[in-house]
Amino acid sequence: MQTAQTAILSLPRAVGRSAIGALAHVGRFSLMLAELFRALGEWRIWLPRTMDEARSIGAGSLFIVLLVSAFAGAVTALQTGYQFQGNLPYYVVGTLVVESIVLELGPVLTALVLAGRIGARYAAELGTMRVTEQIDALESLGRSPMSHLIIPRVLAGLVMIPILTIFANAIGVLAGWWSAKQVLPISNGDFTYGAQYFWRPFDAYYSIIKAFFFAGAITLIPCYMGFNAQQGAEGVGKATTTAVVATSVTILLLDTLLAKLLLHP
Amino acid sequence: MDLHYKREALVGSIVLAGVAVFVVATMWLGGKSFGRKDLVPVHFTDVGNVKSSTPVKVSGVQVGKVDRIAFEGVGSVRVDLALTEHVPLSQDAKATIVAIGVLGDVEVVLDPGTDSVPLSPGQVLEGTTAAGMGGLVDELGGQARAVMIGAQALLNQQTADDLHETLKAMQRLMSVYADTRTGPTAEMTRLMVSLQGVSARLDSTLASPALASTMENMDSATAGLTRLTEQLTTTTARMDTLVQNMNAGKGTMGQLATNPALYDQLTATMKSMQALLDSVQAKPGKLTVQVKMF
Amino acid sequence: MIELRGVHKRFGQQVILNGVDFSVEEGETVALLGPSGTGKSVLLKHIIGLIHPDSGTIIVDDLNVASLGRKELAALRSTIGYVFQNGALFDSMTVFENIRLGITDEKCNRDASYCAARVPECLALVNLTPETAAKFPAELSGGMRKRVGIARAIAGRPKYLLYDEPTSGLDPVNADIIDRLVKHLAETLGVTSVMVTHDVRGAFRVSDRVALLSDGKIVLQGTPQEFLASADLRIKAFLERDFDTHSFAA
Repeated sequence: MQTAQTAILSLPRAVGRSAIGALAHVGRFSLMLAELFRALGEWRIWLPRTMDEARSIGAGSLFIVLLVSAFAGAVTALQTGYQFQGNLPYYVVGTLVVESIVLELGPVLTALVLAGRIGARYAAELGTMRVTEQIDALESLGRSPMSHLIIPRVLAGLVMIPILTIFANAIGVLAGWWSAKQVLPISNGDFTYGAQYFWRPFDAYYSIIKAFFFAGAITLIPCYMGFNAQQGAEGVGKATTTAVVATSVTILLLDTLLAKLLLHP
Repeated sequence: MDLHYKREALVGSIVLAGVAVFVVATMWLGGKSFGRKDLVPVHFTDVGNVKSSTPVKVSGVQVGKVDRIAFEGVGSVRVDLALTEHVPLSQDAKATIVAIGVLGDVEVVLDPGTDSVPLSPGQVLEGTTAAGMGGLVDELGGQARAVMIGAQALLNQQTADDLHETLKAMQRLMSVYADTRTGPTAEMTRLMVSLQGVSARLDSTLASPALASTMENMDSATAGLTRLTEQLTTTTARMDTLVQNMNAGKGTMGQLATNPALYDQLTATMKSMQALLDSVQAKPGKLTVQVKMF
Repeated sequence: MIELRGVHKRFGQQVILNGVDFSVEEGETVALLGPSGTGKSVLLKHIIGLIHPDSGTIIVDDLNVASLGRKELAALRSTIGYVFQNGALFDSMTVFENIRLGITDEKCNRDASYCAARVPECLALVNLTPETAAKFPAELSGGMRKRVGIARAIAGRPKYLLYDEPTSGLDPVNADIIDRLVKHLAETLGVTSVMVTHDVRGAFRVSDRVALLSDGKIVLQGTPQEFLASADLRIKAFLERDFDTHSFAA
């Protein structure tokens, strides 16, 4: 009787427990955001640290972001050329390369690469600071971990990730252009014509808006995970893994959501 | 302290470079360029697929681009052409929107005119739209509709079969076009959808056993138009649902059956369809389509 | 004056503090003894508001720590120096920057020349050379790291100093140095100190009074002599583990 009852109740218990766990995450995340906004007044503290983080994100990630985006552009051009050979005018390659890089590949690939690079670093750094009591130490000195640790990281990401996305878009298109010319009898004029023909100015803004939202995910989620890491090296490892996975999934969700909201309102 | 400046300068230069790339790239993609240009306003009733950066040509040479499109009211659109080349325009200059290719691309062909009086600055030209590929295919949609209606009065199964074949061929042609996955060409897609819808409906109509029996009845009873009307009426319930969209609530069935001009009209339609298909085959524009059924 | 009254704290199902009453008078040094994992550090973190109690009150300088607002709490914390177990130095910063962060007065903190003078001063107080300032925490030994931690805690001229296991993980020589340092700072700076430790020998040597935390409660709070004289079995059991105690305290 007792065991049967336990067995029957275990499922709703598990569901209830994970629901409460999820709610607790939402609550803690919101509280962190509130603290973050409250600490924005301490600009003397976060501004120089933001510069440090921005330099490390910007200069440190530029190469890998450009590399990934260049390959994406080249592959898009090659595959488009292969697929439509003999069926469509070649200038369509220009259109497809520009549109797929600017609308999708540039922002999303950059974000996913940075989720691994920046997100993992943030989660590991803050997680280590948490378990070695550095965050407690900061608080014990009457200082806000938000203005010292979180705001610089988040702001640096919000500024630098869209900038990196712009570079990624530019390099992706140039690489696509170059490789299209290697395999197809397409002239610069054709490519330019195709690139410009279906271009809407909103496409560029859309790309940046996406990058901005992705930047929010890449910085806030790992900061939250690291900041709330459990004790020990295992806690840091878990926070880092969870941060990268959660950030990547959030990026893809945001990608879909923004496409729906902004392109098909 | 100089270390601090170094770090901030690096961040600043990355940000500025990013902004510069953004501005230059969007200007390039938007087809904008610096430099002197003449603005020529043109008034159109419908600009179709024209958008800013659509090329403007004189004698086949690109002399500029569409700069701005302003909606002034239903059937009234003002388009500013930005000419980078200097083209002397006369009072009787004309601008025509011409379709090129089948993806819905258009260009504006500017005819500078022959009048000795030059165009006064700021004077708005009157623009027209030439029927291109898009127009032709559009027309076909209307004709197919007429064919569909005409099919109901066919006295000969053979003719119906022929028509069926032709339409199937048309449909295959269309699906070849459709297969190219052209993506953003909205107009083309719209046409495809409407054409395929028409063809599908026509197919089901011709395949309907009720119709077949009606056809036989009609064949055997060469006389009674009255009787034909009766027979058609028996199938109306079935047919109605099929052709409802086409007929839009008009009780055309009886009327059509009594209309002697229908057969002629159908023949003409078939001919024009054939002509269209020939023209598609002869000058497929920039498309290289292997249309095997012809 | 620090006073805890009826403080309860649970983490999940685990009861850590079960009605703790504990007080520290102005100017005295109190050692908080107890086996590892009994919640000594948790108790210490309550005093500075890093952990809030489930029930009970914590009074520091006539202020109820748990009910303080953000600004008042920050102000109170700047009067308390907290020495973390392993130093908890910010490892992305040099020793100089670490200690500078300890200068909690914002005006002084922004004054570069004040900081340039204050940092070596604090290093000297913990017997470190000024050259240490340029190093990163990773380049320091365990004992040096703890001393830098102390230097950071005293940089803001606190009224209270809370030490969390200052001698744990150190060899006896270094532990003695730290013990002497704690005593020296209490005497020269006149601060009120609370030292959490499981090192009975050090506790008896440094403190005016000793308290034992066991099973979530303070078993006894008194002078080392009272402690040794106690007949309480828990105290006897705890003291017996340290065979050196009697000879040393006597």
